[in-house]
Amino acid sequence: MHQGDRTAVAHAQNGDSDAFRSLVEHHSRYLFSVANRLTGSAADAEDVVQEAWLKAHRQLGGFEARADVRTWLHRITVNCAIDFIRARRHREDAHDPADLEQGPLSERGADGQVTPLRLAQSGEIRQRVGEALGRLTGLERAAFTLRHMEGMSIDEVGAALGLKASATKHSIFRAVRKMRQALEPLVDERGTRCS
Amino acid sequence: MTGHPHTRHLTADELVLVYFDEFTDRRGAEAHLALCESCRRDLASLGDTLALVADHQDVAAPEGFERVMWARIQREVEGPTPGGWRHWFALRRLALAAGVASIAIAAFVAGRWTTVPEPAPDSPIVADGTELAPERVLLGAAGEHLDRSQRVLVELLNAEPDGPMTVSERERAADLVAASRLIRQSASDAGETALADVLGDLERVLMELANGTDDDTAAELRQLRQRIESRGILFRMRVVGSDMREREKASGPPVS
Repeated sequence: MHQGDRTAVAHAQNGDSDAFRSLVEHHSRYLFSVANRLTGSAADAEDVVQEAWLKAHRQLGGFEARADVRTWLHRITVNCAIDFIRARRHREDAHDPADLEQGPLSERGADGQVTPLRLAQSGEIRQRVGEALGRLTGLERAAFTLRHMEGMSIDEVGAALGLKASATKHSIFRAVRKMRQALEPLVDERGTRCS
Repeated sequence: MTGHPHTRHLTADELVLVYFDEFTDRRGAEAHLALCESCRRDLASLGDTLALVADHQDVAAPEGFERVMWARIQREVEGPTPGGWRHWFALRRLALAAGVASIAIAAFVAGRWTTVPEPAPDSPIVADGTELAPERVLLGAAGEHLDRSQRVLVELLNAEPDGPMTVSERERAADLVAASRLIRQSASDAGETALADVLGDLERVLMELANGTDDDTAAELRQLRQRIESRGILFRMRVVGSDMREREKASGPPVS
């Protein structure tokens, strides 16, 4: 655990707002990434991170000194994002933004080695990944990200999002299908499935 | 849990479950994969795709995000400091008093009191007849002005990339410019520099929108959108607007 974090938390627990501020300045960018992955929107991620910090502040007293601060903040942020997504669900347009009829991306992946060319392509790959994620519904994105990035089991994802296991699986399958369709041309060609 | 190799290939969805280690017949799948090069290739391809997502999914926070985040939560974290606030308000009361009439006019221009026939807009009162404190007029007018302006900018950003601005959109922008100038001047007089700064940037964008013509090219509109995004104008407006609302809330019952 980062020693500065440990000290900052101890001071913040005693009401030192400057210490809490140092935590905010040290971890906010990371938490934004976490929230943005789940919500898919920078504006929503900002709100989620704000709520996460306020919650963390309220829960400072319950923080165990041996725990890792970033892990603790990460968990709070994920929970806030889940709350946000659940609240948003009833508003979410049923329209599926994916256009599965779109043609394959033309860019072919490199050989998997880290080369200058590969690095140069990294920005574009990030853009393609962002576009592919943009084709997911909010629920698909949340279920997929919680499973793939947060390592939650399908049952846990379902419980968090208020979905049955079958609906959770369905959301993840659809998300993966869309991601594969959009991104597989970028990865190494590994042959075709046998019939 | 048979452990017997599947006699058919694994479906795409089954491979997803295998990848996430959630396939019910894990041993059967493993036995099949040991025998089937095709399914192994497909599983590897799935893994590569998902690794690509994991490696490239993160979006960087806007510049200065951590400082802005602190500004958003500072008041709640530090808690109320009544003496400090009284002092702060006392220092600004004179400056605010000078600007209150123009704020009221600005709010009137922006439509804040257009549905209330009495009293006259230069003497805003709350329902019980109490005269509003000048700082509350500024907070209320600025908060609403920022909300209204945000809606215009969001519509602009979400509009058809090559679509022209309509006359009514330009008129809305022109109304907002007039209100914005008055509020910015009062904010500046009251030492509200963050508010004055963001209103300055907002005004320039609104001016361009208001003065636009049907001949404006799609490229010009794209440039304007890019400027809004690159300068983080919407983000700053949200932060300052949120701060205004919080302070208005803290200073008393809502104005209506």
